[in-house]
Amino acid sequence: MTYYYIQLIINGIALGSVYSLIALGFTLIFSVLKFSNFSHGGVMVVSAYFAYIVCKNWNLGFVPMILVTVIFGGLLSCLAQLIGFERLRRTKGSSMLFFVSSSNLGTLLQNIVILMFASSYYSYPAFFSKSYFQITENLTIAVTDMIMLGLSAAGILILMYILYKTRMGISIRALSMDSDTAKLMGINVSLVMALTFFISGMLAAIAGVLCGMKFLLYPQLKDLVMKGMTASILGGLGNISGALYGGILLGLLEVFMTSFVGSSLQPACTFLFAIIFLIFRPQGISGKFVKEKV
Amino acid sequence: MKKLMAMAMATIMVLSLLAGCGTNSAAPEATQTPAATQVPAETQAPAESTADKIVIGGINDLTGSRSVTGNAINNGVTLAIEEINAAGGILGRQIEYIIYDNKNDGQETINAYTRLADVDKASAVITTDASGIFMSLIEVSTEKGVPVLGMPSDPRAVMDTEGTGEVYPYCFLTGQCNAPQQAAIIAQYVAENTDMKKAALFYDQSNAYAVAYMNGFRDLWTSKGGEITIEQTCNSTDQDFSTQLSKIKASGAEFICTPNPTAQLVIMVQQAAQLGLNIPYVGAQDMSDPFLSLLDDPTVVSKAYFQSSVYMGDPSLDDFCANYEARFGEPATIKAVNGYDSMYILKAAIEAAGSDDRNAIKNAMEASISNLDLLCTDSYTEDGTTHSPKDLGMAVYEITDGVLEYKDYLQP
Amino acid sequence: MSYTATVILNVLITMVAVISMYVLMGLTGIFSMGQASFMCIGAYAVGILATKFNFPFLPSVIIAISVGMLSAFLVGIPIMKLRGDYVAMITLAFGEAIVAVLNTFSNVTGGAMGINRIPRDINLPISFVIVFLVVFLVLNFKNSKFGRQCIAVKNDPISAASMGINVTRIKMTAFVFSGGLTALSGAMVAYATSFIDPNSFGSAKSIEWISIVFVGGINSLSGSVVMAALFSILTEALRTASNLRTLIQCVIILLIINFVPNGLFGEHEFKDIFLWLKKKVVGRGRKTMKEAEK
Repeated sequence: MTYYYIQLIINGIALGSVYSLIALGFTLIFSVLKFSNFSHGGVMVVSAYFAYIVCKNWNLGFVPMILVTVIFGGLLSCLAQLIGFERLRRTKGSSMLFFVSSSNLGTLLQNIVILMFASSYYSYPAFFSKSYFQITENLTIAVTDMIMLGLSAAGILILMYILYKTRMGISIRALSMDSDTAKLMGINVSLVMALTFFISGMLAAIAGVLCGMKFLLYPQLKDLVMKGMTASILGGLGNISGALYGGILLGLLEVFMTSFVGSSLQPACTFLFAIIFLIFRPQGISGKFVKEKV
Repeated sequence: MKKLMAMAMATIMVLSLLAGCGTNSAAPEATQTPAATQVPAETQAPAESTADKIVIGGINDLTGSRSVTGNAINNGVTLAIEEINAAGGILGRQIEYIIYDNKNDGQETINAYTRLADVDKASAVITTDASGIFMSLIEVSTEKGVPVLGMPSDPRAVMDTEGTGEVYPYCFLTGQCNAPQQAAIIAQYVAENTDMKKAALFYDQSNAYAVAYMNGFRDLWTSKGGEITIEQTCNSTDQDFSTQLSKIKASGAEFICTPNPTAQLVIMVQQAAQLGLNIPYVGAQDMSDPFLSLLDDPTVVSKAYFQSSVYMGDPSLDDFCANYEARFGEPATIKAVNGYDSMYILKAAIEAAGSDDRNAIKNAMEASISNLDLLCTDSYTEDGTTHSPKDLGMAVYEITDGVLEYKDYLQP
Repeated sequence: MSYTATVILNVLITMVAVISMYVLMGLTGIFSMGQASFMCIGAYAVGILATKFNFPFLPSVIIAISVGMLSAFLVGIPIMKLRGDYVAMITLAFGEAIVAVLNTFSNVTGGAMGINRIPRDINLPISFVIVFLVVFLVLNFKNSKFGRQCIAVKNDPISAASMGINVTRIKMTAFVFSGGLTALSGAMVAYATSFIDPNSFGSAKSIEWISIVFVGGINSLSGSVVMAALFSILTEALRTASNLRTLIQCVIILLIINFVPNGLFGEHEFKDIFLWLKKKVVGRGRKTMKEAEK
């Protein structure tokens, strides 16, 4: 029976690492522009299908494929920023306008995928000879889950390094506090914004490909961004390391709720838990408020 | 300046909409006249191009949450219509196919149907396999009287099973038998050909087809002396089934019966393999192609039984599959076959009716669809009293270590 | 019902739903991504009452509205003190919870198979009366003390609180009021379609309403009403575009959001436009009279 619970914890962390990875790119944008970027899901889906085309046509291995896709995802995200947010940012639109713009961009990107790959499901070729590791007789962990967890953790460390140790990171953080002052200080706001979106797009691409590997390629993968949003709120919105904690908390929560009350009422119980959690700890796990744009 | 721009924008939008409405409201009058004088029009010298066309409507989920199956059905219908038109049409008239997207939403479906009935003057409508969506058409189809053909597996979609037992006059299930019958076929096969007794049921409780299938399976399996050790459910948005699978593993079941959609099946089977749950599966159509090709390692399915209206690898389907892939650039799926078959059933009905009159088509659907040569069977008969296929069986397949094998053709 | 009547009915239903969203977002600035779940509640209340207990139209609609308001109240208690994005997440989770509950208790709700054969008791005159009542109510709400407090809360909660406005209470009032309105639109949906199932009230609907409110003009009730009508008609007009429809809609919204960020009506109501026109016409008239006198 202990094995059962340990396996549950492993499953929860595995599911949570998916949510974390999605939440990471989502949170990055939130910390700078203070809005929920739903086009993140669209970038995920398009990148995942792009990776499929790359695999099919050039027969690349896992690492080169990821590298190509990551650059594609970054560029796509920059393009999305240019179309959806650049003008709004200059005219200082309210954060709700950013939200409306981003959710429509997300649907737009999803529909492009639907138009191209309408009527069937797809999957990547098998990249690894073994898709899971046997820890003991009763405990297993999937390779994609480990990659995801590793990448989420690595992504957070790299992001932290960039944000706190590099000149560019300082510009990003300055921008997130006050874009006018940042501009006066000689920061090229458009460039920094584009870079932020580039990084977030890269994270979206990784998340998209790994979700495609863990699950399956279908246009509704976009809806996972909702889980990413929930995770980033539980972790403390706008807090980079909070994305990891929030994702894993959400994953564990879902897995344990499914085990105890059954899958049928799991969403209802998760909802109740989220309410109770936010009443007692409204700042999320990591415990730092990021000021909302007033 | 801003105000001016806003005003200009508003005016432009209003004008464009008025223009849109204008054509909409004008359209019925334009088509009404030819429709009323249809029979003479055929004898007259070149009439308007719309007059000698038969209008067939389509309503499917092209962009919503079931876009994959919706597009497959739509592609199947489109391919059939293009073939029919290339071969000279029906009754010497070309077919005009008008497809509307319903985003998997009941209200949208009703609007689309009403538009097809009133504005486009469609003679018949081919629609979705989603039972819930199909059911939203019951009332409105009785009112408008345009026959609806679809693949809803819930028997309540074409017949008032809980009340009077009457069929809904214009609703037809075509191309495959309903979910309880499908469940009966596979339950019977498993009971008679294997020595498995303990079943675990695992289904998507938000999917009407899965629920109807399960109700059928549960009844038949217990009546055959089988045992059900555990029932587990999931929701359509779930991505992780390892918890349910762990419970099934602990319950000592001998096989998992799961009628879930392909996307969920793939995730489930891979997670089961990871949990070391090497167990036979009993499933539905969704286990047919491309299910096995989507798995990283198809051999994780060591044993599986499922029923399907057709075997995609059947040589008689080679032409269809090749044409489909050439036309749409994607491999054909079982849903495309269903759509394609439904269109040919409709063609037979129109030919038997001798006109594109809606009631004549409805009557022909009830009375004169028999022994058609289709992809799913070579003698297809529609039962007028149940509005469902008569004695339509399904092929039963067995997967052994990731290899698909045709076993038997059974009737419910 | 003819096609035109169905379309108009659809327009009216969307209007009621969008007006409820306007009360939330436009007036009070509450960001609810699960507003469609109240529509679901209203629809199911009517569905169950009308099919199982043969309730007539008026009592079931009134009960539907009360149930909607009650559930909005219950959801509102814990979350109205929280920040905007939390409300979005909790309402989103609430939507999923409702769907799960409806699917689970299938002996009452019909589960995934939905409720079928609800009498189609609604017609155009009744719907017009409902919409007029709703517009009248909301217009009065907007111009009342409550409405002005709502706008104050939206623009700056902190200064609103310092002016002695009970922010939580104001938000709660708006949330409950709008929950009732959304439930009313749900009741209309149930009577209009005769079939309801849990899956057609997802977050995509809520996001669409939010988009409409913003495109119409965030502070303008007239904008919301007009855009709700234009948008439902546009959806119908674009039907012929089949699978390109959603794409085109997204592009249109993106264009409007980017180039007319205040929305079509901005902060203005029809009244302002009439006044403006009147001023122009009358002003010109006076001028000419003066010139004539000279």
